[in-house]
Amino acid sequence: MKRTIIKIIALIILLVSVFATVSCSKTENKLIKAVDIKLTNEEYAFVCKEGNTALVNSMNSFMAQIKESGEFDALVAKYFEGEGEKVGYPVATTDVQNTKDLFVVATNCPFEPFEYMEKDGLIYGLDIEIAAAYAKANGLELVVKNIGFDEIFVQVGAGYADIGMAGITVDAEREKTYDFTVPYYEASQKLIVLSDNSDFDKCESVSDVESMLSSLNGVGVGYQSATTGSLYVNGDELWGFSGFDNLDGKAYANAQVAVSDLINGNIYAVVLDEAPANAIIDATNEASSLNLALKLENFINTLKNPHYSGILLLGLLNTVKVAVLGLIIGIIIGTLIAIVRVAPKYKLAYKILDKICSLYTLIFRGTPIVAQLLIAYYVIIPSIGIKMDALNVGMIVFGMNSGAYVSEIMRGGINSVDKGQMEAGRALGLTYSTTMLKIVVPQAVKNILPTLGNEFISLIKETSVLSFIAVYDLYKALLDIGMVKYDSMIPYLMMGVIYIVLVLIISAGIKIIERRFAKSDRN
Amino acid sequence: MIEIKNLHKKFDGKDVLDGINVTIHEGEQVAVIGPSGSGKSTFIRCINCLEDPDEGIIMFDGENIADFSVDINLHRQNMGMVFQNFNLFSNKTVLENITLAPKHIYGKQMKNQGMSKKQIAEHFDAEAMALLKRIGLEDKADAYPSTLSGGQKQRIAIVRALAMKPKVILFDEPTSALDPEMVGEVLDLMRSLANEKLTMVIVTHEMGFAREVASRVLFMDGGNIVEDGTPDEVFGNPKHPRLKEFLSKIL
Ligand SMILES: Nc1ncnc2c1ncn2[C@@H]1O[C@H](COP(=O)(O)OP(=O)(O)O)[C@@H](O)[C@H]1O
Ligand SMILES: [Mg+2]
Repeated sequence: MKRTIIKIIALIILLVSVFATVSCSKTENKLIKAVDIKLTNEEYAFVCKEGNTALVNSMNSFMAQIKESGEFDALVAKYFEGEGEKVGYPVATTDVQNTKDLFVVATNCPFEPFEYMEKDGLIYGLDIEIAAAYAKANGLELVVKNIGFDEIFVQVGAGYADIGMAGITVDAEREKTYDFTVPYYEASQKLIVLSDNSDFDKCESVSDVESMLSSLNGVGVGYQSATTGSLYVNGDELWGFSGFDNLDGKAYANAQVAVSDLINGNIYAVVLDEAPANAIIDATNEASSLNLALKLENFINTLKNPHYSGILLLGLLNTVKVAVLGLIIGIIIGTLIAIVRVAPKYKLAYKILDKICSLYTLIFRGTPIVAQLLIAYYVIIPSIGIKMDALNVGMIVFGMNSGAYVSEIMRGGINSVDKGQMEAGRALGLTYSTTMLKIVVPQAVKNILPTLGNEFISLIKETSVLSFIAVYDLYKALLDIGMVKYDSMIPYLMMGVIYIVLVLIISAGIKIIERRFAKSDRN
Repeated sequence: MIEIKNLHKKFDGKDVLDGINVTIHEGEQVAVIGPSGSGKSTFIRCINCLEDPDEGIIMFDGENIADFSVDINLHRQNMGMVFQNFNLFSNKTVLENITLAPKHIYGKQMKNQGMSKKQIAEHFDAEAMALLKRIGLEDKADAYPSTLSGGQKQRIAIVRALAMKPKVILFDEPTSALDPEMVGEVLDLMRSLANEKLTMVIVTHEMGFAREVASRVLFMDGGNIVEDGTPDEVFGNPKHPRLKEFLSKIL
């Protein structure tokens, strides 16, 4: 108990010093701006699963219809000129099984004004309102999934979403594997730099900007991964981009983190889609003028909204759920595998089983858990045609993965138990498996408890990859909260704090269990 | 009762048991003596197949238990074993150590006969308590093995074997790991079992005990039984030169 209190005090001191450093070190508030030259000419369209011509045609005729009626222009005016009242929609926080009555849209926030979350916890944007109008016209229920940009394509491909609407650029490479609707918006990339950067002041054309970029050496330029920006920086034949070998291209998960890195002085510029770039510049310049107290207040205000406190709680719950159930499944699978692996191999069946188990361990320990998760959710589940909630898929994959690790831990634990224990059980006439389960395994578990605790802690942390299959875990929840006002500092710090608190609670729990188990060692 | 024919066991290509032939009769107390490394432990562990014989026949209850197709668990229920290092289950209390196997094995049959789980548990707990009372350790019923002395552990290991009501108990140097002052209490218990005419096979270095308690003594050397007789014959009139040499060193 005393120890725990000391730990908590130490943690508080650490946190206070981190916050103090963060708040003091930023004496000058850096601002950013866009270089006002269009670097590319591209078009946005919606993306459907290859061969889904029914949806492509239906969407195309719907778009033609609202362009004809002026409805589309009104929406554009609303989001680009601020005319008229915007309408927000809820985003799905749990996995939705895609059925015929649903219109499931995959999108990626923030990409203002095409899709972005407001403080009220609703999703707004041109794409979203088009989606809503389409759903209404076709008598479908709208479901919006806010997921990673890369995931949009996989979800559409696997049929988890009907359509991707996320300011997606029509690109020859993507057209090979997906079907696009008729484009609805002309876009371009722009260069974002610090406000005090005067390198581009004299530039008048794309070639001016590009020769300026070519003259720089070894500076970092950021972009959002899997977007046109990345092709522009690195070069792409289909697009006719020659790329910049002299620049150090850096991929970011979203525009916001790229811009943060720019402000922190780690990169020289960011290449972003023009429309969202403007929104990000405004919001970032506004956020950087806030001090720590105001940022904290912003964060608390955001949490006052039930949507955001809801996803935080949901994220926490999902993280704990997947880790706990994953560990339980892992212990069961791991124990069974370990027993097979240490069993004497007289019978052929045991030999075959042993090979299967070692192959299982090799596969699950030899591949990253992200790969297992992606394969299970996007390849195996759709191809065998069963419907399964992403959270359950996550739980099973984490359990199977942890089973491979636990089996090795358990094998060590079983080997550490005196051989005489098994012999004594067998000599009494008990079977191998009964002796194993009643005598050897309980002692093995006692020996490996600290190691199992570590496995649990790494499970808790690894659950952050659940966001790859669109499950709201702690990481994804705080990521979303951080995007509300383009101010992610406090949410990211909170993320660290919550994970540490979870780990501390687990460690304390393990200590208690260890003490329980220790009773047979009393002297 | 146990008929062993041509028993062979190799370790790392070396013959540790070299064609043993011996029959152990009901009610006998057989002491197995011999120099260290002569194969005594291997022999006694082969009898209940804790070591699998490479060759040979072990007839017990009318079946050759050296044959892999025989259900060895069934036969081990009738053949108790006591180890040098006690091997009490360290995650179980003393009472649980004694009742675990009977409850698990005989409890199943009793359940089929219509007894409730509680009745079965009470039955075996009462039996175990009676056994503990016999060795004066009923107050240790709920203790864990790690809290007991070596002598206490070994006596409990013996009654754990008794709780299965076996036809024979095999002992592998039951007193060798004990402090000298604790040897007596274990030998006393074994002596009282011998008086009840329990069939016993005892590997031992306690020559005095073997001479006094055993009804028959086997002397092993180099993986073979080289002398087999009553204690008086073996200790009083040794014939084989290796036995003479062994006894002269020990006595
Ligand atoms: N599991 C084993 N693996 C290899 N060699 C063994 C094993 N058990 C016993 N031996 C060898 O077999 C011989 C006889 O051992 P053992 O039966 O323990 O003799 P004793 O009990 O008479 O001292 C020894 O040389 C010993 O090293
Ligand atoms: Mg020995």
